[in-house]
Amino acid sequence: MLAQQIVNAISLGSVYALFALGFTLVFGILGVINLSHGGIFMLGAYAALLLISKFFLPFWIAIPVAMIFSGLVGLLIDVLILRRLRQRQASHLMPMIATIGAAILMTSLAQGLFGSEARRFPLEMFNDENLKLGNITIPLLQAGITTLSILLMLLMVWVLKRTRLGQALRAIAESPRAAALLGIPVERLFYLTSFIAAALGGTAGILIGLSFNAISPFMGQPMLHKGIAAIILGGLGDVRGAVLGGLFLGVAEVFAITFLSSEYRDALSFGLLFLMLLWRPQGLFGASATRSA
Amino acid sequence: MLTLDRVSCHFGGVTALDQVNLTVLEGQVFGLIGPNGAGKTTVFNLITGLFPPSEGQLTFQGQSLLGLASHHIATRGIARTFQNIRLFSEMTLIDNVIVGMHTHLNYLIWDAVLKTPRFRTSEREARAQAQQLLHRVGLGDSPLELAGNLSYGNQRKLEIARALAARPKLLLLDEPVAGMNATEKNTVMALIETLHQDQLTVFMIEHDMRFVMGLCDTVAVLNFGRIIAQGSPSAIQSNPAVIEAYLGQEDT
Amino acid sequence: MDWSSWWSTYSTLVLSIGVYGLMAISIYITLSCGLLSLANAAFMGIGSYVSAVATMQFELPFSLALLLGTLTPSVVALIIGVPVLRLSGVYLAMATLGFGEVVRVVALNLDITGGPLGLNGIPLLTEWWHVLLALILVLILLNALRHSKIGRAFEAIREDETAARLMGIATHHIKLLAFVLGAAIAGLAGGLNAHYTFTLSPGNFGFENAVDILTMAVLGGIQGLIGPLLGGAIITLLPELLRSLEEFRMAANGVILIAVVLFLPQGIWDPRRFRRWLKKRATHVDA
Repeated sequence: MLAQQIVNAISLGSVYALFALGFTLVFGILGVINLSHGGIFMLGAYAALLLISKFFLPFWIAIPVAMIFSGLVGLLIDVLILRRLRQRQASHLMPMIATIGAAILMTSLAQGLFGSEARRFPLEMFNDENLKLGNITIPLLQAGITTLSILLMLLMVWVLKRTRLGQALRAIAESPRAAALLGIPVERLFYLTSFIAAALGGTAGILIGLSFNAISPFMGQPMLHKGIAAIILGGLGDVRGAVLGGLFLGVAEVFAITFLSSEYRDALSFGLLFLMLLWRPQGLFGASATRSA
Repeated sequence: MLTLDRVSCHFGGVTALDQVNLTVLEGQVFGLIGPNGAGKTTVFNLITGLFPPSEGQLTFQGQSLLGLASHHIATRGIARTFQNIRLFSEMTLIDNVIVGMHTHLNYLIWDAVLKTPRFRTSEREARAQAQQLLHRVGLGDSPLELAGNLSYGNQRKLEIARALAARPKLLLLDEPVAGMNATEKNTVMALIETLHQDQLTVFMIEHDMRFVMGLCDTVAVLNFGRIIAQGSPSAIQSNPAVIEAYLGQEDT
Repeated sequence: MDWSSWWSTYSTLVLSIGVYGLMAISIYITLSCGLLSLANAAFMGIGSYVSAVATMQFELPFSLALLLGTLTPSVVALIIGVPVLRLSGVYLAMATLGFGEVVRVVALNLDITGGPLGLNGIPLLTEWWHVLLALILVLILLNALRHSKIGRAFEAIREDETAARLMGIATHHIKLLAFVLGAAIAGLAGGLNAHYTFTLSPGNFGFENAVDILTMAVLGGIQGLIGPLLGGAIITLLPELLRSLEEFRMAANGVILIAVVLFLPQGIWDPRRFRRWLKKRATHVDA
């Protein structure tokens, strides 16, 4: 029983972590809170759903295509909105409000196009195979979801730590102006960051859609809340912190449902976040509390 | 009036100030000079309580400043200007100056809401005084202009007016004539002379040697966080350690 | 259409314009002090529940209920303000959003607030002149503050908090004042709101509402008191005006938010822009 819950918690937590990773990447590198990340998450799920149920694409094609689609949505938001605000050196309030607007727009479009009720993947395509480890059963689907999100996170961490691209991104996170002086194409890497972050967010949407088998226009908002909680728990802009924050949140939620009641699940993330901000506003890994972003 | 006793300040591993001793006497115009990055502004930041010193003692009029919040230090009678101008650029000139008087407007919220006589007189007087101060620094013509629209030199003058509005006992000026042309420098010089005649104690950081040597009665030289010389302007100008610090600076 | 039938159709809408005008002003106060606080929807919720419970369960007079609805969120703001206002920028936004979510979930799980069903059958006590009176009083109060040392301190803190502190302004007290004042006005608006909408549920005070209120202030402009009122009226009327768009109605809200940020960053009511226009026209006439 306990072991089964731990498996569930890790599975849920790894998807949260994937979502939070994209979210924190944008904050760390572009210095803005992109509140449309939840909307992108939702559109990613719908994109995969359409590709599979309308165009009858196999899974292994539909998921990458939906990822790229989500990435393009993120890129579009950057080019149309965030870029202009960067040029104007607008205060941090402005991108937050504009991306809230983008999120409302996406939700409303999805609602108008696909209706308000939850949609499902044609899951007959999975036979209910299970992996058995001792007396823990892991549905194959759940195992796949967890593996994919962990692989993507490892890939991102590798890119950031070990490649020249990652080095350039870290330089921008430190100071965009200094990075530009070093000849790093800052603006282009901003676009790339928005693309990657949105692709990760969209992937998280696909995976959550698969694991709960319910996709609705409103799924983005609660996820955004969890993402905010996760990255603040871990420390804004910190990749390692976002991953641990997401995992922690997944674990906390699963155990809150098991041992408390499901009503408190949604309060949990924000309750934790609220306490964390009072106790240690810089998060677990954040360096400075006074950085006013 | 103001003493720094063996004050040190470390940021991470870097020592910004190392065992600094300074004494500013009442009525003095005291100058602090030194090459860029010597830690001069850090001295002002410590005095005004923006961060605490790592060790040492700061006293003002015989009382320790340690552990006091910035706004309490301001209330004790220390006002300052900033090297990188920090005006309220969206506010008018006169409002900038009146903000400087904040602690002297001692009406309560209720007075403002009910527009009591106390509120009216105190606001009226504040406005008149602010206008006078603007005149004094040579900005009396357009009190309703926005501070952000002023030229660089005039912004520095406005900062001085704002600091004076707090009726300080000690005025800290951080590079008051940086970026000014010769005429502007002369007006600021004349202004500081009148302040000196009014018995205000002035402690300034400045690079312009003619300015410092012309105004200050005591000058201290800070280099790499240490005071390397202190004395009258003429003594400082002929001090070999000072000459070396400045020559060394020019080499690099 | 005669007056009484017009009023019976549109009274809720008219009262909402007033109440959301108050809400926009409540967030304007914190914004004018440089604080991006998103807690006002939650303070409105607290005010609504407290005053509704006061009239329904304790049968207190409406005036006393409104007073309680104003004071309770103020006290809550005073308590959480001390730690929360150490934060700034996005950290403050996130913390206040978190607080809002906590309030919503508490309302969802308490018996006295009716749990997820909320409260039904709240007596309809709010008259149009109550809302008008509240608006006028709040405007007089804030206008007086704006032209006093308090208002100047707000503005100074928004522009440069460090410089303000070095002018002797006790910045944390002033910020706390702005936060508590915002909470009080939001609570008052909540109390008025509860007594004409008949029902209350926790969902009314969540993230969406917090965003709506922020939108009002940003759309209207925060250069003065008129902007938020205007923004409140527009956002309240918008769903009515856009009825024909049906499902896509919310999309218009999103587009407006984006457009305002991109093209009207100072909001609709921007006295400085008006002055520039006037100047331009004057020079045209001169020439």
